[in-house]
Amino acid sequence: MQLKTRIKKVVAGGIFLLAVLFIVVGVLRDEAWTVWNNAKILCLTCIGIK
Amino acid sequence: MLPVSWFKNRRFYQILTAFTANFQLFNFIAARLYTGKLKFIPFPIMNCYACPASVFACPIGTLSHFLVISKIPLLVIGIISAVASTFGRWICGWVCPFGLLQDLLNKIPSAEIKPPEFLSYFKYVFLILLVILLPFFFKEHYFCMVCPTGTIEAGLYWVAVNSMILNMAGAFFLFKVATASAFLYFSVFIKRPFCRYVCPLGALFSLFNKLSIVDFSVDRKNCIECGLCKKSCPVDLFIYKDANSLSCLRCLNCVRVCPVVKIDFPLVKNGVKTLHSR
Repeated sequence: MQLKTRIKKVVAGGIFLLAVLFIVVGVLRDEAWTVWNNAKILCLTCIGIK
Repeated sequence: MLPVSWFKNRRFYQILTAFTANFQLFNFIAARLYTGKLKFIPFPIMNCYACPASVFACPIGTLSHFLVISKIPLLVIGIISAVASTFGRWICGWVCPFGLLQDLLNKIPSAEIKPPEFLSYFKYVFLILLVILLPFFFKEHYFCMVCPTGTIEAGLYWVAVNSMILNMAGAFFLFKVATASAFLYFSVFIKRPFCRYVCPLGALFSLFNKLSIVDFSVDRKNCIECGLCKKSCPVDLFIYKDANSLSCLRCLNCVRVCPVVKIDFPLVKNGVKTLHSR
């Protein structure tokens, strides 16, 4: 594998690990509840009312 | 184009995802929203959560919502980054239901319009302004105000079935209908106008296109620059100019039409493939 490709894949792996960390921290901070509370109600902006 | 079996055809996966992300179809009859546990997940496709059948949260709406309530959206950023760093814009080509709708509309025989290339940078402007900065400072979901997905999947339906919502619909609703109609209309003449020029989720994914696990490469010695790749491409790219362009949707159409375009799997030993060599 070329050095450039290797560096790119290391960066991608690093971002992926950071993303997993963000997901874990997000779940621990109960963000999923905020997501659900927002998603379970009808978004009036989305449907063009408000 | 080289024929592939149905389970390797992206249309199959686009339809499968469109159905999976909207499998609560009976909610259209009951006129209610799905409020189950799957709505905890901001699934990274453009699929409005105001649609009665939708079972996941919209990642862009959720991102904006967190900024409106002045919270850092770690979960959404994590999900989008994890998917993007692995697949890049592969999601846009193979999974997104709104991409499927535009692909199908573009099948209608018509003259083709080719807008200037610089317009593709507008999606980054929409991402930064309408999804991040304006919602954070002015506490409104600005991208949802122009998003055609919400109008098509949810707005038209709710106005049709709910008299209270119908009475509330005014100039803003007409503006949204006009915007959505314009996107649908132009999808007939322009390949994927929303994905190329507006979609903030596609803008986020595109930032990772050069990093994702799959790379494309072109055998320049044997490329005759015939333009078949551009003709088959859903976003009008010459793959030989930049095999891992930020706009590439990873649909593999160019790999199917041209024997010099290769798919590389750099993490796999000897992981270079052309569909034509098999």
